Amino acid sequence: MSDVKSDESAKQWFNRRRIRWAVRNLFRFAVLIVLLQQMRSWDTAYVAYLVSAASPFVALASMVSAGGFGLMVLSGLFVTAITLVHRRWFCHWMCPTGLLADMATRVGRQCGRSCPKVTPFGQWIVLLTLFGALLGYPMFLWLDPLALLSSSLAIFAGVSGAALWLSAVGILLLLLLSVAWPGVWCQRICPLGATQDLLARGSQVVRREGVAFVTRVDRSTPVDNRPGMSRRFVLGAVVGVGWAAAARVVIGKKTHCIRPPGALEEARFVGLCVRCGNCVRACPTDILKPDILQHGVASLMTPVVEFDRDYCREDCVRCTTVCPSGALWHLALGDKVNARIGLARVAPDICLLTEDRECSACRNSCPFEAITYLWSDVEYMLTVKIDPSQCPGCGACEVACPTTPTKAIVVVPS
Amino acid sequence: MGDSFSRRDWLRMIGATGVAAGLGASGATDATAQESGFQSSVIAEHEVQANRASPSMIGDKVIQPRRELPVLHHTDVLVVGGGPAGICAALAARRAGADVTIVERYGHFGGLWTGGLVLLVIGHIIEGGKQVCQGIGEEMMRRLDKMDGAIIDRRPGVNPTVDAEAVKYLMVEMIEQANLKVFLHCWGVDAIVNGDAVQGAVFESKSGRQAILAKVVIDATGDGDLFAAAGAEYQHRAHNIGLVSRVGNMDRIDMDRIDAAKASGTRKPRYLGIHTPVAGVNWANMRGPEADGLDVEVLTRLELAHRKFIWKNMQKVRKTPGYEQVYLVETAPQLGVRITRVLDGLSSVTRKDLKAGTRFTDVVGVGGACSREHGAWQIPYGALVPRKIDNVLAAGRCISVDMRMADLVRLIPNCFVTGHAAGVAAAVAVQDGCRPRDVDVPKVQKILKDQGAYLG
Repeated sequence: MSDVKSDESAKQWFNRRRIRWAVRNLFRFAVLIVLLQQMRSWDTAYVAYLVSAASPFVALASMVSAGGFGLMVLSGLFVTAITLVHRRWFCHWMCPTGLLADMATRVGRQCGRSCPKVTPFGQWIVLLTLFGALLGYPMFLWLDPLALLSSSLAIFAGVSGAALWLSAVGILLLLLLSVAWPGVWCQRICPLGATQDLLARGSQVVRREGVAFVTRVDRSTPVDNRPGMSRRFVLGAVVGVGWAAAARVVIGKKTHCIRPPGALEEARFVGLCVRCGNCVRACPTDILKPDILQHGVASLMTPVVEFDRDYCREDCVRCTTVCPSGALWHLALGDKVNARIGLARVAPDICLLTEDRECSACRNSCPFEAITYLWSDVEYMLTVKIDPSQCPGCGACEVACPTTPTKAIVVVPS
Repeated sequence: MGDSFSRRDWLRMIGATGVAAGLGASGATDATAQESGFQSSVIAEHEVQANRASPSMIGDKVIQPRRELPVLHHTDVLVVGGGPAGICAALAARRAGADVTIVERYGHFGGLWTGGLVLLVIGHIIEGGKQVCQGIGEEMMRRLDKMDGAIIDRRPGVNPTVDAEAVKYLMVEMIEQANLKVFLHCWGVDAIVNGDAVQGAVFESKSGRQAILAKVVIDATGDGDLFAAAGAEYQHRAHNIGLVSRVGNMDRIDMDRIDAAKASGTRKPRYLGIHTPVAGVNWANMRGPEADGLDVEVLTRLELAHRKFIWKNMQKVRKTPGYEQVYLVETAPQLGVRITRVLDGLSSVTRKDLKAGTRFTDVVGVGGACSREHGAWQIPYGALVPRKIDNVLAAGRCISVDMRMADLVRLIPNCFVTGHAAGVAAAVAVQDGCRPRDVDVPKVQKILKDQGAYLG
């Protein structure tokens, strides 16, 4: 806990603080437990996914970047509304990452470490990100503490190898930082905390000018009132927008990998994806994998679709319902056919039909009836024909195709 | 059965104009033949056939008068069609204690397996290499194992390839050992139906149009000719129709000349199929265009076109450097019709059930995969039973199946499985004196297992 109280009667405060401390930590522990419910069956898991969507930082960036908000963003906006009144309310009462960081902080303090006086990086991060979001590339969104924690749940979800290490590295660094410089994450770096500070500052200004009807004076330490805030805004805007523009040019609009259904255009998706791993864990067929540098640095740890074992089921939109940032736009089941993630393509030279083999695997497995076999009287042979208007790139054909080692029909990014 | 003919039945069969003709003549045949020492001597004085109720023109229509059909045979279980499904059905019913008769349109058994030269036995294994096709089908393969040059690639998880002549021989042997009544060269053309109950079938052969009366008929025609004639509901589908051929001297291909030709950019010839138990001989499949296998004009057109293509293609192959010695051994006697009619049964084999891994209480068989791509799928007894018509069961590719599963159901091992199930069910129905739809399924399942079938 970070509260540094000075002049009040120590004895009186001792009891109240102790009790409040216990209750707050109980709340945060409860939220952590709820978050862990993701590992249970889908029916009980949805609330758990809502936790990682509760961040005002992500909610605001998502609204700015995606130009609207999905279902999950609502829970973030709810928290935003509360933080306008109670600064850092989220940190104290809800943040499960904060709970862990506090524990690390305690360890650090007991080792005699202390927090250096450093500039509040967090507000820079928020400003850069939100201004970047204006151009669709909120660059530090992935630093959201809930996303960092959520990402590390990959260990329970069958993710292995480099992806597993990468998914946990964020939270581990966070905890190490908190041990080395106790409180530095929560106070100085955490963009979620900084978002709350900025929001509170805004509402305080409003209050001070007497517009608001809120009478209660903020009870914690005064927020950053130093002159230079406006300069910080301008600088944040320029760098954020510039960076975002550069990122979009570099990443481009074309997708080089297959994204989950409902994904925004590539540059926007890569920017808005918080790398929380919710979609990877929600996928019932385990076809979503965190990208470990196969498709460039910008795409690191974003979800990509791999059809090596199963395909994107026609009766499932789970990943789109658990995305906290709206990088995957929420889809209704009926829209699945229109949410193209790729397009099937045939390699005629290895297709078994050219050998007159008795294979109809792709046609018979296609849930969208997008595949037909055409007979040619000249070649005296069948060829696979794919109707692009019917093919959403679900990969059922690729999974079913019996050719090895290369599949004769594969889904390519559309 | 003749005793139970009522006067009304009799009149109905004779009809208004028909007079029984030819009955007397056929009775005299055997005696006369034995007396004559000459092969081409006169067998019998035939009656002048003026009264045999031939079709005649009435106005501009050809009318077939009503007439009595000679009854060739009485039996418990009549199996129409001697392909993989029919043979398994007949053997299973016989082993389950029924009196069985099997009728085949060609002069040999095996259907598309032999006459169609579909030599690769795909569909008996599933994901993980487990073999799900057991029972009589597996028994046949084991007997082929013991024969010289009859089957190759009999390894776990691999699809074996057979020799058609070995299979033809084996089936004769098994049918004789089982003491089945057999009629070859008989084309089942109609069902004998009373109300919704089938009582037998009508055949055309060199002996004319004759009837076989039976308690249960198993339709193993592949095209569902019998249940369709009996009035059962079915779907009529188009599928690829091809013609298989065998190619010889594949072991005399000159690789050096091929390599030389490749350097000069000569195009490789069309795929020449896969190996068979006969050294140097490959069998080459053909998918063919999607067409209606019940339309005689379509069948004729495709038969002609396919034969022309196979011959001309072989000329091209022989002009390709390195392939000069390759030659066409034979084209299949029987056109490769894949799917025509499929029954509209009490239940169905569906893709959905395959994906869900549905287990049926009335399971009578487990089907395999084209290669090893998916798990086992159960075949419910209801898929063999017509919705409305009684005393007829479907076996083989014409059982009740959805479009996407038809490509699995029609595979040879899966035809073994459905044939086996239909045979046992028919025998149980006869023994218990019930309609096949009311058959005691657990009893059928038990007998199937006793006969070595795998039910999951």
